[in-house]
Amino acid sequence: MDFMQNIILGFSVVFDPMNLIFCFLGVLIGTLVGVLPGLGPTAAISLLLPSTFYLGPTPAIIMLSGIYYGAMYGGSTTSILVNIPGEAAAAVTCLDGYQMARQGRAGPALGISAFGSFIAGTLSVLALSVIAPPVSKFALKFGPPEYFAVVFCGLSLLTYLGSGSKLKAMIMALVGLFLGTVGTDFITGEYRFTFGNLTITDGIGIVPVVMGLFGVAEVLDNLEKSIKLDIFKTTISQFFPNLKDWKASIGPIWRGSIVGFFLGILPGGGAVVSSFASYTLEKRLSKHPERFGKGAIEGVAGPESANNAATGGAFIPLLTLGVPANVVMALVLGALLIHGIQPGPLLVKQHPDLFWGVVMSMYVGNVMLLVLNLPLIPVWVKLLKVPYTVLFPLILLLCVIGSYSLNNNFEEIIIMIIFGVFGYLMRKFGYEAAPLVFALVLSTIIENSFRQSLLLSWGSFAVFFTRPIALIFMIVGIILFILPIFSVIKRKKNSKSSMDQQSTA
Amino acid sequence: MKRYDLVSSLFLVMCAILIIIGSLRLPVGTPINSGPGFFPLLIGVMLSILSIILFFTSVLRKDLRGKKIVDMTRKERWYRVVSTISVLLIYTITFRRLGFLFTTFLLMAFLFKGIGKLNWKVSIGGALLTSFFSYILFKVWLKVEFPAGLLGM
Repeated sequence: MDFMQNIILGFSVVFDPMNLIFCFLGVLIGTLVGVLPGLGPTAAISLLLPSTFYLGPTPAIIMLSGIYYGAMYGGSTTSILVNIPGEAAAAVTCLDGYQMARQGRAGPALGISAFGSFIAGTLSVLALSVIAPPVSKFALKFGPPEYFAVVFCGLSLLTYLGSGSKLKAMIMALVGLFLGTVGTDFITGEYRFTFGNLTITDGIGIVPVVMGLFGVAEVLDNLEKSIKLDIFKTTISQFFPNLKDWKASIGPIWRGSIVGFFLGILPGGGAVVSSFASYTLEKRLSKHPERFGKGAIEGVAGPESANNAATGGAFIPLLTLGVPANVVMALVLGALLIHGIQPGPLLVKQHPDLFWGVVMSMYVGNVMLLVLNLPLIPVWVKLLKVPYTVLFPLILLLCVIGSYSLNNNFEEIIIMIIFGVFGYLMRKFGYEAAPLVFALVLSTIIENSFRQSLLLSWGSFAVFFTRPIALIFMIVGIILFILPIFSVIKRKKNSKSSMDQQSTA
Repeated sequence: MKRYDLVSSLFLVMCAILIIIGSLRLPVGTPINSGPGFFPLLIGVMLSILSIILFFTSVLRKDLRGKKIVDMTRKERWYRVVSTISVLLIYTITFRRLGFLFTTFLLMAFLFKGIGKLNWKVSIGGALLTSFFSYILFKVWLKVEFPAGLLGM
């Protein structure tokens, strides 16, 4: 009965006209930035974060989450039609989606990704509404050692799952943790590494860092390359997948939803990882794995469902523990804090209208996206024809305004430019930005819980290994942390022995 | 990647050393009574260890030996990167004095014409449109406080 009441409460919040408008705005902006390569949900949310000051917390979070899952819908369109991921989580959709388009089946590919996203999105909202309340009750048992262990595990997972060098990902995570210590020490109130600069006494802001590393760096990188978007010329007539397509896709959609949701929950997991995991899984389960990469509809249905399901999962650690599972969630956390709402175990109890309103808005948003998306595809295709020379000044302007408007401080723009240059060099030298940003976001939580734990245990590090919940997360985290180092050493040994063989030969 | 890793690992080792020195200047304390330098010191130590591992793995790898660092940028286009960064910096410094509307117009015109190589008509028109609409959207509608500058806009 309680559950039904909550659902009704949620719907009554969503159908408030103001909330409905912001839900619509969110999914529309989300689809737009999803479609456009080079602008993702992270940049869009950073940009709109300041404008949410003027909204109430509920419409603000409804809009921001709409951008997040809306981008997942939009990203697939570019992947399928242009073979460039509009959004990182849609990268794997290029493999089979674009091939389908080349075979004249762009319609069913776009159709199945929209329907798959809708089904997965709906399932993940359902799962979120069922799982989050008990998890938040369980989370009340969490003390500083548990928080430390969860975040540590998340960081290890992110570096482990990264696409490039694991060692470099770990290094970037450490750089992020260090950048997070800049500013005022929360326990003693002393300034650290600020060099007398007032802008960074509250710490280095996430928004200018994100805008720099993702927005400006991407533009600089592209300016060198001069990208040309080759839109596949095809008439998209039939969006509805036929019966055979449905038969092939329904399994991947189910499995993708489940995999995506659970990988989304894990801090450090998220939409990108989920879509790759789903693709690998479907390829493994398939009786004809050789069809993958040549236009198999399962290769579109699975990952597209998974990345949407992940967005629902990602809200669980944020709303129940106050720990953001990825960078986008960190920005949502920022928006909540601006409105004086501390996400954590007590959120569901203290702000039921916010919690259930946001959860139900995701359901309504998914319906809007399904209705909106397919008819709007011709519009998105037109947008993709806008040349990059027109697009990049706009992206830069948005980055500048986004960084400035958060505190009306021009020094934030300088921080953004510095991180833009830094991010550009990182790309050149083969370092990923995601672990850095994620670690920067979690740095305060990880440092405070670490030092508080040691305070509790009178300086004994055993505190992380004697409490059962903390122990489990620590073990998983340590294994994931050590594995990459071992693989580096092993690789070195292998290359050494092969070199020895060569020299003896 | 070898040369790249060599250069970047040396840079990171240097950063790690600076972090360690900086942390030691702050009160470090003991595990039970940790000071503000405690956590950064730990990070600095770990960063130095991992960077040294990266350094040695890149030295010991035989492949790609002798690949020069120069080819990291495509020569004909790197000037676009440098001029974009410079113009952004100039924009940031001047927009407090000259106001948002005017400097944004100049910035956009430069990016469209100088970097994007669009024709004059489109560049000026685009710059007018974007600066005007961003002004309406952010200043008028979203109430962002831009500096008025000399021109009062």
